[in-house]
Amino acid sequence: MSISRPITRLLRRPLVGATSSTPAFTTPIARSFSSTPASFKKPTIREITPPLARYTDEELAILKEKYTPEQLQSLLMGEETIDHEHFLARKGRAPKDPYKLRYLTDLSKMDPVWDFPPPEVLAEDPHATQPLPKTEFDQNKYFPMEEAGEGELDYKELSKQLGMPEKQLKGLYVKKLDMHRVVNQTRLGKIRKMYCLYVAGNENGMVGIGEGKSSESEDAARMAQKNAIKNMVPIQRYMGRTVHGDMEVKIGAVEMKVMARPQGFGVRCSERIWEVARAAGIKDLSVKVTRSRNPMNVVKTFMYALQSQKLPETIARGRGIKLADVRSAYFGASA
Amino acid sequence: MSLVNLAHVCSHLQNASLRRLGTTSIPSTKLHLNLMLALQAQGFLSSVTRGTPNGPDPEFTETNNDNIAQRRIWVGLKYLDNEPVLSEMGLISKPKQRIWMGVEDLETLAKSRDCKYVKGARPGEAIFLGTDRGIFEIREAIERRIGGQLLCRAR
Repeated sequence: MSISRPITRLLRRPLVGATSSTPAFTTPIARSFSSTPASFKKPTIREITPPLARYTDEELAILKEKYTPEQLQSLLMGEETIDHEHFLARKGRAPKDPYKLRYLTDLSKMDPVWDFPPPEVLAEDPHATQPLPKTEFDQNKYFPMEEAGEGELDYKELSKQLGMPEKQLKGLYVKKLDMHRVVNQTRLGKIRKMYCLYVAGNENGMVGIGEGKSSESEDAARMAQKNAIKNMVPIQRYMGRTVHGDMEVKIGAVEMKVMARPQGFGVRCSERIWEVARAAGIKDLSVKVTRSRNPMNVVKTFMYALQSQKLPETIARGRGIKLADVRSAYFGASA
Repeated sequence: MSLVNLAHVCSHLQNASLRRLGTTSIPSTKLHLNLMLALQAQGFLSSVTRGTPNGPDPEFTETNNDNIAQRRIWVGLKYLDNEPVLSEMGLISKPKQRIWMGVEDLETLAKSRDCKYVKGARPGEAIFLGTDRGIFEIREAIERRIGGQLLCRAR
């Protein structure tokens, strides 16, 4: 019940009535709340027509439970000041929620569709019970490994040498980065060979590069793959996704800026560095190669950069101070 | 406040670290002494001693007009796993362009963000400032809410 309601009525009523010159509040037009004797009251329309019952007895009983008699009396008296038509057309005030739904659902009533669970539909899928066709190939049967073919790695031998399971070896990310012809000039003449550069990594912090040289390109590739897998070393990553801080690395004529990047940035760099970063499992990185872009030297320089990172823990140990990673200290992120 | 001499000191400490020297000496000035003490407080140096070109003083020797030309500051360098603790050191303010910064800009630098053509501090990097209250590391200066001239950075 708004407190401003009776006042507006007080102000509005004279316009409807005949006496326009008299101020609105000189005569009590609205019904006074006090127990003024009826003889003092001005005769109004409401008194002529008997007041309409606004609440049924049942409703009043409920209200009595909720309010004390004094409260209820004052409420009822307050509501009496409201026109009967207005009272019947009263609405609940919508809460000021800009994001609320644009419709009102009356949840007090049962919806014949939404309030009942859907009837169970019997699954009649003829394909579900159809037997699988019989094939010659049995997946569960063990097939011995065939001998390594041409240009293919002998995983069995490599597994023995490295002590790494064959399955793990096959799961590595191995990619050719460079292959070109090299020539050695001897007194017998030019000896031509193929040079090959491979990267291998488990995409989770282990990466290595390998070179191979042979008169046959396939042999060179095989050697390079083998060397790459053998040369795999663990590298440090910040939060398993980027490098520890920015670096500027120079080897020979290759100069590069390796920059740590925020989560979700991606790897933005040249193609061979991208391959190495993928093999190492680096997800957010930016690399700018500023001088020579010789493919082989770029890859070697990037590998050097990854391995020559200065870890915060090492710095703290060397300086005898405590470095706290805010991310892990306050937000519980794993470094 | 000679930045030229400070540049020489920075280069000398880098070179000494590359050669894996245990101790080395630098010219004795108030600026150098205070900076070396700040470096030691940050854990970059193991010791800071006054001395002569022959070596650190075995006992306290007063600096006077007679021996002032022979005064040096001897510092002990630190290594961990055969890697120098102080591997990079260089000027920020140059003799031709000195850079002063207020606290807000220092905070930006300390957050590894570039500010006023100065590269932000990398993880584990210390930036030293010359203020009217002495030489401070950037984080100390921010804590005390004082700005100053950016002298050098060490890592």
